[in-house]
Amino acid sequence: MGASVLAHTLRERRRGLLGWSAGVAAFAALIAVYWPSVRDSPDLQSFTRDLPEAMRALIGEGDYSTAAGFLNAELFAFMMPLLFLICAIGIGAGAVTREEERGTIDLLLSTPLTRRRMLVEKALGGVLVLLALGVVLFVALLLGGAAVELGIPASRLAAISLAVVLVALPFGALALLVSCATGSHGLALGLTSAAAVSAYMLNALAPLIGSLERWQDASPFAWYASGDVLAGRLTLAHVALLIGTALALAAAAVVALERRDLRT
Amino acid sequence: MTATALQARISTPATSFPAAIETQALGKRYGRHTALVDLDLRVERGEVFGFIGPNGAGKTTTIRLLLDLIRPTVGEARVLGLDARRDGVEVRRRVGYLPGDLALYEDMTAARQLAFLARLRGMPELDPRPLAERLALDLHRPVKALSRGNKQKVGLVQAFMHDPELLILDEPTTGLDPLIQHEFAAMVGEARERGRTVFLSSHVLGDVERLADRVGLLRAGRLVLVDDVGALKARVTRRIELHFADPPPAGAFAGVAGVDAVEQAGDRVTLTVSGPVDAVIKRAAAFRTLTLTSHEPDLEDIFLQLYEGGPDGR
Repeated sequence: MGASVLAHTLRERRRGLLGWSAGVAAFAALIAVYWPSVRDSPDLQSFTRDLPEAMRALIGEGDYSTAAGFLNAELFAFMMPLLFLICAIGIGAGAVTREEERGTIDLLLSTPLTRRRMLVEKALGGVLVLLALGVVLFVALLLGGAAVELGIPASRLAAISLAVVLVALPFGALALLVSCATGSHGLALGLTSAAAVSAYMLNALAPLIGSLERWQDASPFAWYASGDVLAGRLTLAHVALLIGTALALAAAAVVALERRDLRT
Repeated sequence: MTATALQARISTPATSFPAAIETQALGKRYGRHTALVDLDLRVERGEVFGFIGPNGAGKTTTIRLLLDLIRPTVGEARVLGLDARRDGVEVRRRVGYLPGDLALYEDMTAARQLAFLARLRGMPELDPRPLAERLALDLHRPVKALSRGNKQKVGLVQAFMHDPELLILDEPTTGLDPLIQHEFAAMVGEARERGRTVFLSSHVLGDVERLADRVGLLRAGRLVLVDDVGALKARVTRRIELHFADPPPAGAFAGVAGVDAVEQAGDRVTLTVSGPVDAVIKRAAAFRTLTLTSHEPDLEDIFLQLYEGGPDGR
């Protein structure tokens, strides 16, 4: 049966991927070319420095004096992972439930296809879509960066593009797990979004709140550490944690789906 | 009929050759709602079995249990001698299935949809064209542009195209026009001639009685009867309305063989007849008969007749 479900998944996602690519590329390039005017505007730099610490923590530690700091604050501390998370959670939550909502799952799984195989191919398809989006992001940063002499090495732009993809994976996998366990598209979207917000807040606020501090390392956003990656410090342990968590959640999703009734 | 007599009818003696379908005490509950209770069903290889019952009786639940799309609360199901759950992949390889609530990928053409399903079966060489031609289905139109009937044809083609040992068809004639229904009946007949087993469900007895050798009647999640189609039809009563040019004498139809009840209102006579209507026709011929209308028994009538005052399957 080859990789029919994988091909089918990519085919179904291609139009969505085009839209996402355009959005991500335009956004990334726009922020990049904005850099020269920020660099030449000392007022803006003092503005962020003067914000309360809690505010700075939430919007991302803004160091507008370097290109890497600027990109991190404007793109990678919040907006870009948000976009990738929305994309990943959407794919994960809908991978099986959309087939159930449309009623096509009966035909799909009345063939000699196992539920595990279907899920693995659908998950792989989702990862490929996110990776493609990551490549688009990298190219947009590279071109935009070159246009304005951003001065960040291509290897670091590649690393941060990969990191954004990786931080989205555990949440996509969590959405897949919730949808496989409950059969509910809406619940998967809602619960995973809530989990993502909690993880983000935990990572952002932990340095300020003593009781939270020791939990910070439990947040995938702490493993994402965009500031470090842009500064050239991609930690392999973080990469392994992000991928490992995603794999564990996806494996749980397989177990959950194999146990339950398919809906019509 | 007593419960024991029913049971005797339902369980045919087991043979060494595995049945096409065999369920034991199969049951399915959704929370408090019971969809299927204690189903003991045996469908032999090579027969066409009609599974009938009103909507919501549990037909689709049974079928989805056989395909391992849902899991039983109790009991077990064997298909072609294999465990429906443990050997699900092998079962589905050898079964062709038409879902009752058929849904297709709307943005594909029929050809692409069928090619996709053929690849999933590991049989990319399957050619849907001969079947599509028989059913007058245009393979090159996108599914979303197809009528209900044409979508149903796509469903039939994918169920038949790998010539499976067992065809499980849930409400197969939905949306088909009479000409195509005729072609479908021929396809079922040919499958039987090739030794295939056909299990088809319907909420209309008429759909099934022309095709099936045996029928099982399901009501409120319980299998209440399994019988030969002929025996079932002979047993049920039908209503016959006669309209005469002149009112026949009172008692003209009393005592005619097969007539259970007579209602007469002037020149119109309504009869309740069980079994052959031969004697009724011969008696009517003695008068100037203007019209004769025979009402086919519907499922509800059959259930009422079989269970009037009886245990009624509850």
